[in-house]
Amino acid sequence: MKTRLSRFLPIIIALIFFATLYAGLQRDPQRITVQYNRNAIPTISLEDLHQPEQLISTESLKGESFLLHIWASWCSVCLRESPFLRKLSEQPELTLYGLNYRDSRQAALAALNKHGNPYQKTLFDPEGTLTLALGAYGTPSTYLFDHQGIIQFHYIGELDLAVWEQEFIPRIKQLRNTTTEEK
Amino acid sequence: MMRYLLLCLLILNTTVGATVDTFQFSSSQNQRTALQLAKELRCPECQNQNLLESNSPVAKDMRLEVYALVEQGVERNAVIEQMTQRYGDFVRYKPPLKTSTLLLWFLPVILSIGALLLILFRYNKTPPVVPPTAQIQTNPDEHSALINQKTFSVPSQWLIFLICLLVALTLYAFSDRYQSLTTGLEQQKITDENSEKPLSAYIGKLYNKLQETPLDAALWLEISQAYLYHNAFTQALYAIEQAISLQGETSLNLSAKATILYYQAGQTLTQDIVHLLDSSLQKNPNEVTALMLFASDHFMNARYQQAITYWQRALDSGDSRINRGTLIEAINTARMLDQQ
Repeated sequence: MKTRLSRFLPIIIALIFFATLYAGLQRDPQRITVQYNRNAIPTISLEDLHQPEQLISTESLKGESFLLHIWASWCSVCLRESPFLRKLSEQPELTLYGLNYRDSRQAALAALNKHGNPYQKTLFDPEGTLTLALGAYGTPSTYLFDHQGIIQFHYIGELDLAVWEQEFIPRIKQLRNTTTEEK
Repeated sequence: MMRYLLLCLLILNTTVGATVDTFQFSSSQNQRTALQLAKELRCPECQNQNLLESNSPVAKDMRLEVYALVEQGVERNAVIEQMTQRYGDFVRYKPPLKTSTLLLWFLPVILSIGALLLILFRYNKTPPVVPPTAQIQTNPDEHSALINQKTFSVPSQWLIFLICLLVALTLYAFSDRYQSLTTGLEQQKITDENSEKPLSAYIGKLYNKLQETPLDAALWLEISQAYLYHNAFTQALYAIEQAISLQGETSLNLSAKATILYYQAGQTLTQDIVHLLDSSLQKNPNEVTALMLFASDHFMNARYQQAITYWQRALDSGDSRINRGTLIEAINTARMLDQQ
């Protein structure tokens, strides 16, 4: 019996190995969920995209949980998700801010005009300072912050209904519950 | 001083493919620490390169931040900690020893030990003692069978291999990749079926476009006309058939097909061709292609009145494709010839 098992051992090991690889193949590298980053949003002031004379401080965004969406006019995936974002922005309880990353103001405004503006406020980050501080390295990136401005969830990739329902809705509900308890 | 710093930067940048930043360090020690740190951090976007090697804008920003932090006097470990908090453990080339990274750290060791044990096991197994004479005459199959007692016999090994291969192929056949491969190949076949070397640059261009969109009927029509122009009747016919099968019979493609057949037949109107042209005109009595073909044929056979009638119809259709001036001249010529 011992000899029997040891004969099959290499095959079993190989099968487990390949099963692991196959499972790995199913993971989509274009959709990344980031769980380790629990930093607070750094205090930076950036220009409002629509009104260059006005500065928006990240402090002013705090107070209730909000979503921050990092996008650019040259990012084709961002434009693909704009219909979905517009639908999201129509929900009254949701606060959605935009962070325009490494873009020209003209191109960004043109993109918003063409595809619609789902953001309540858009921050203009041509140098990428806030984006770097948040640890984003690809667009589109969507952050979920709690009312204190601490990162609760970070998603890199195209935002669609499936991801929204699977990842964001449960977390948003959780945040709402905890804040109502605190209040 | 500047030159010295830049020179240091250039010399210390010994990694292949490293980019050169013009960052001014206040001391060469800071520089060394900063560059060393940059080499130990992974670029989150180009995950196969460290911060110094990577060309991506994220890596550049991170590099400059690392330099700035070192200049501010932040400790090495603190810098790494900050980056890890932001980007996760993956950003470190030396991952920390946690339960999740145990396998990463020890798998090579485990595999090496396993390999060693395997080798020892085999060579420790000595064949049974056999008298010297008999040993020389031992059948080689028996000999190998004795040594290989811990593993499968050779035929069984082949069987297992075949089973594994079959399983892998079956899995692949049901996977998405195979489906998209077959549909791609089928589409290729449609365009490849009658492919000859393109007769001209224009046909070549159309041919390439068709490779991308083989279901574009207008393109098939266009390429059939191009082939006709070059007297490549077989290809032209094949192309127009594709257009017809894609968009159904229209007055235009029926006339186009008739035209091809007409020229292929040496400019003779056979029964089939007339039938096609009639069908085309039934669908669209103003189909200019059909009208012109009839007119030309009548004219060439000295049936001038009929030619004029058809040309007149073509003029009356108001189709923008015809050259009215030339047509009017042709009608006048026909009238003249008729009076002779």
